Amino acid sequence: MALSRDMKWIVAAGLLLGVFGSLLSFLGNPPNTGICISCFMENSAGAMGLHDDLRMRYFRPELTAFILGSFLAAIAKREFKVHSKGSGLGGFTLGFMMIVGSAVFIGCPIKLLFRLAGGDLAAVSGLFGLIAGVMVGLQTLRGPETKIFGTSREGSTPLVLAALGATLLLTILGAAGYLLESKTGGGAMHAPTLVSIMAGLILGAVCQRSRFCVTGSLRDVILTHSPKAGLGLYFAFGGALLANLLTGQFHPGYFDQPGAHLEPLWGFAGMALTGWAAVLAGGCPFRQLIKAGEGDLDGWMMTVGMLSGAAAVQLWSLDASSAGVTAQGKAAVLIGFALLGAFSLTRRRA
Amino acid sequence: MRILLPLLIILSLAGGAYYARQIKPGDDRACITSDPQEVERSYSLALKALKDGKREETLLFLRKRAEKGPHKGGALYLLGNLAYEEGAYTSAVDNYRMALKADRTLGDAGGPFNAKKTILMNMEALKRGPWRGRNTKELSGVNGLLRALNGGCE
Repeated sequence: MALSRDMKWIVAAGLLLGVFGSLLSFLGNPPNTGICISCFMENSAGAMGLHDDLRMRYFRPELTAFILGSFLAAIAKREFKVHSKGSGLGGFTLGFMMIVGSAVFIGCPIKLLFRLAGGDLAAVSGLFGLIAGVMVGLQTLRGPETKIFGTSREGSTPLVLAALGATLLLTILGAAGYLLESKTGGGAMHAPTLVSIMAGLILGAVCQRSRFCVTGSLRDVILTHSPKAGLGLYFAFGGALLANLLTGQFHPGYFDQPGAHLEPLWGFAGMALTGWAAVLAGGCPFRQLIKAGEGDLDGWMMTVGMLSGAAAVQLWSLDASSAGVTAQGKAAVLIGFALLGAFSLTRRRA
Repeated sequence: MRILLPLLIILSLAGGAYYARQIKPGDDRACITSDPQEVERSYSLALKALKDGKREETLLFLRKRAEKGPHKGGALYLLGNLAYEEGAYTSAVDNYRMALKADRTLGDAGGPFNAKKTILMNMEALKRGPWRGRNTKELSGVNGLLRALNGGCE
């Protein structure tokens, strides 16, 4: 099967994402959490003192490295362009909702792949939820007016440069140990900082070139009816599975998986919320970081929304744990559906 | 979709309100300490008394601390150990579960008493030994503990 140049980039991005994620877990990140944007956001929010969970504090350098890697690749290919569709509060809300849904499932769409590749059968409900969420999102976008936000126009370059500067500063402060760190719990488990930064930079750059996105791949498979559109996903899963098998991290099972709960309905609902929000936002949480690095102000808005969502899920106990999903988490997911429904409805009428 | 979306919004809001009513005040994360040694220190005398054979007094002390604190989680964990030693496995699992709920650091590497290692060992032994052959419903407590102790970012 001959692959176009674009598809080769997507395959490379998927493969690297899967292998690097598994290796980061092997080197110290929590099990099945080599890369997870929602977990990393929650840890990083804790490191900045935005929430009070002492076990969830560590500035994950991968997060900022994704943005910086994407920025460097965009600069190198002259694709760095400051632009915005004026998502504003809408973008913030979508970012917020993606993290709420992920926290109820316990993991973002990328972690969903890692959980499955680690043998976590409890994550299967999340896969169905994500597919359902993407399908609902696509349905709500049907019609002559498919634009969620306005048309793309030039944005404020100083603003993006200031945000990139802050990202670099946070990376340095985190690496130098100036931010808060957990002594126990998920926040205390991490790969060596330099390895995390290097992996983040490489993945950020490759995923900028390839435009790889988990929900975007699912969307393309559904829209084109072509399994080929999901090549990146298959390689990400395959790469992670192979690396897990080689490093002894594959433990198939349902009942005793790390960072999982046995409430499949809510796992489904959480990922459905994330999938729906991601379709409206134009990309999964990981893709938003890459877009931010390319100079997309909407990507930045959603990143800020995700960081706020990460702080909120911890402060308000919306996040699920191995014990199950909290009442506030269930309420938040359902309110999230109502919000996205209202969002889709009003946008369609615009 | 034009009919379904408003219906979805109404149903979601109703469901959200239903679950919001179930939120109990103070139902947030349990108070945890940043210093595992502080928890261990607060039970050092109880552990010494236990070594000296003062089992009944220690049990009484631990039950009081499990109820009123401080460091309820530590007391529940030690009560779980005592129950496990006595072969009261159901009580041990319940105590461990409540201990982790009260203080989640007990399930972390580097947490107080190195509890994670002990509970993991006891639960694996229970699954392979006395409770071997039990169905998943009967093992739900043990599996829940194993999920909490196997790491993961939560």
